[in-house]
This record gives sequence, structure tokens and C-alpha cells, in this order.
Amino acid sequence: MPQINLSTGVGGDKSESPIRSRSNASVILSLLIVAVSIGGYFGVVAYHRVIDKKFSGIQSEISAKKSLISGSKANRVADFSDRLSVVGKNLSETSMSPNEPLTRIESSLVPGVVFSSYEYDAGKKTVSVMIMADSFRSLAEELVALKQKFSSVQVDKEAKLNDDGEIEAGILMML
Amino acid sequence: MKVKILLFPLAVIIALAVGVFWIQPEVSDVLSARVRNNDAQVNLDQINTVVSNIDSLDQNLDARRDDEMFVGNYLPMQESDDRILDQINFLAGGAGVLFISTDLDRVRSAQATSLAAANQSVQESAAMKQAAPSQSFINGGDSSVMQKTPRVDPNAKLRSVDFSITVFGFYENIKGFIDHLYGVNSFQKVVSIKIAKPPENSIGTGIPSSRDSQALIGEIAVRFSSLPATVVIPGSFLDVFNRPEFDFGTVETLRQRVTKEVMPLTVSPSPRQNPFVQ
Repeated sequence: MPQINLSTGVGGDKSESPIRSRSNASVILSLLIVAVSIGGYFGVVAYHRVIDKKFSGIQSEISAKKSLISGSKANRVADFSDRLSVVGKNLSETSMSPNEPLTRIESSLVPGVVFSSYEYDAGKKTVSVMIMADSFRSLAEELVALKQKFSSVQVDKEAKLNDDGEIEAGILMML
Repeated sequence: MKVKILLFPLAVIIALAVGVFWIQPEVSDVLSARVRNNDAQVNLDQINTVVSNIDSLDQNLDARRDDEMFVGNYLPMQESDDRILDQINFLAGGAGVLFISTDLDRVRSAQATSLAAANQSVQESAAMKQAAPSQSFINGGDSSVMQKTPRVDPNAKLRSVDFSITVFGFYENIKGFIDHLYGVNSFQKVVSIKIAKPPENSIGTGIPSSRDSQALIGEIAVRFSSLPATVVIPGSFLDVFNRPEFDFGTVETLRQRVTKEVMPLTVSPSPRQNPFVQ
């Protein structure tokens, strides 16, 4: 009887086991995916806390070190620096001797001219003098000589003959 | 069976949801925190450098204490009218001129007003920084240098007194007196000079009558100054703290300028019961 099915069902178990093992693997994989994602989240949170703790430590150290940037040492250093700065500025502003205009005038005197007064303003850098000359020519020569020593020379107000017969003139000069 | 089939896509959806709604924001926060930490570390390193520089500068001053004292004597912390008067008198005698008189004018009002206003703004700025110290150093991810404290220009703190000095003598002696003033060991600036022949009628002016027509009157206005001590506001970062040592070139230049060192005035009082009688 060739059409009698003598099969005992053992061959049927063999065809279903691959399907079952695949479904088990997918369950395991699914659980793994969820576990990894949740685990990753908690890992990042833990790392965040580590960073925050490190930041707090740095902040504490900054606060502690700030107190060292004041006190007697810092005051002494800052005070000397200020003094040095002020002195340096004054030295450069006063590099020219206050006698310098007089020295220039001395080297530009011509015969027949005498100075009766001298005024020097260091702030405006101006020199104002009263000259007594024996003639207008001497006065003119003196003006020429002064122009070689000063940037600007001009007769201030007037030049006139006084009671003593001398030419009296006020001169304004710029250094 | 159907549940098992749906489990994998469900797990993927859950993982994606966790990643998008929880992990990704947390990672953003972590990245910001790392940048914040880096900035704070940079600031801490800078503070350590400043502290080290302060120590080094302090040792620098210890090694050159003479220069420190020299500058301190040249530009003192307090006004000293007696010291200046003694210096002027000493220099006048040394130059051979007669010291007749001096007027004092304290240059204070405008500078004091501007100084008070400037100090007020500096203190307010420092108070704000102390109230929120983290903001002084952390600047929203900017890892650049720590913020410097604006401070008052030391020249604005100068306290000055104008001395209008009248002397009598020959031209060369008056010039010599001016030269001595220029080289005296006190912070000063010659403001103006007047030299003229004395008036014909000098009675009551204090100017001696002189038969020598070459004698002159000299009026020299000199501004002497002092600088009050500097006190560092806690937490302020000054430019000087960025260097480990001072540049003493200015001190060398000053030593060349100062040619007339006047010794300090010493006093030995002789008590009397009646101050109106010698």
C-alpha cells in the first residue's frame, strides 16, 4: 500500500524549531535594545553628575584663590606700581628743564638788548618777556635771533619809545 | 506569537523615544557642562598665574628695597608741608638766594570730586562682581581671559599743593635755585617762573632794598604732590599682576634726575611756658 502515510510527526518538529529559535532571538534582541538605551541614559546622567562635581571643585578653588589676590602683598605691589606709573609720567612730562627757555634766550642775545622781565608758563609752553632795546634795529635783530630758538615769536601788544629813550617791547614766544 | 513578532519594532520605538527625549537633551547638557568646566579651568589657571605673579613681584620688591624706599620718599603717601618748606629753604640757601615768602594753595576740589565719583563707580563695580563671582570668570562659553577690573587712574589720586615761592638774588643764583628745585628728591612740577627787576619802592613788600641793580626777584610756582596708599579691592585683577617682575627703568631715570637729596628734618623741641616770649 504505497499511499499509506507512515509518518510519526518527528519530521514536523524539525520544521517548526527554526521559527521558534528566531522568535526567541528577536525577543532577546528587543530586550537588549531597550536595556542598552535605558542603560545609556543612566550612564550619561552619571557622567553629568561627575562633571558637575568637578565644576564645584573648580569653583571652590577659584573662591579660595581669589582671597590671595588681595591683602598686604597685593597692596604693596599695586601701590609701588601706581607710584612708578605716576613718577614715570611726570618724568616724561618734565623732561625739559625749566631753565631751558632761559638757556635759549641767553644764546640768542644781541648787543643793545636787555631783558627787564621774564615769564615762563610750563603748562602753555609759552615764554613772555619785556625787552629794552637801544634801537628798533636791535629789537628786530633780537626777534630774528629768538626765532632761531623758539617755534613762534611775536611782538605782544606794542613796541614803543619810553621816557628813557629806550625801545620797550613785549615778546611772546612758544617753545 | 504575534506579540513576539511585534516586540522587536516596539523595542526599537522605545529605544528611539528614550534616545530622542531623554538621552539627547542630557548629552547636550553634558557638552555645555564640559565647555563650562573648560572655561572655569582656564580662569583657575589664570588666577594661579596671578597669585604666582604677586608672590614674584613681592619678592622682586624685597630684593630691591632701596628702590622701593627711594620711590616712596620721592612720592610720599601724605602731604608734608614742613618737609617741603625745609627743602625750599635749604635749596635757597645752597643756591645763594634769599627766600622771602611762599604762598600755599591746595589743589584738591576738582580732583577730589572726580576721585570720589570714580571711586564710587569702582566700588559699585566690585560689589557687583563679588555678589556674582562666577560671572566674573565664566562668560557663557567664552574661554578668553578673565575680566579685568576698571580702576582709577593713579594720577587722579594725586594730592597736590602749589607753592608760590618768592626769592631775591642775582640771575645766576635764581637759575641755580630753579635747577636745584628741578632736581630735588620730591615729586614736583615747576608750573611757572617769573623773573623781574624789583620795584623801585619795595617798602612793605618784604623785598630788601638793594643798591645792586643786578639783583632780581624770582617768583616760582611749583606743584608738590603726594599719592595716598593703594588698596586692592578683593578679587580685582590689575594689569601689574600679569607680569612676574617690575621694570625698574623708571627708577634709574629718577635717580639720574634727583641731584639734590635733602636730608629729613629733625626736631628737638624746647618747651616753654609762654609761647609768646622767646
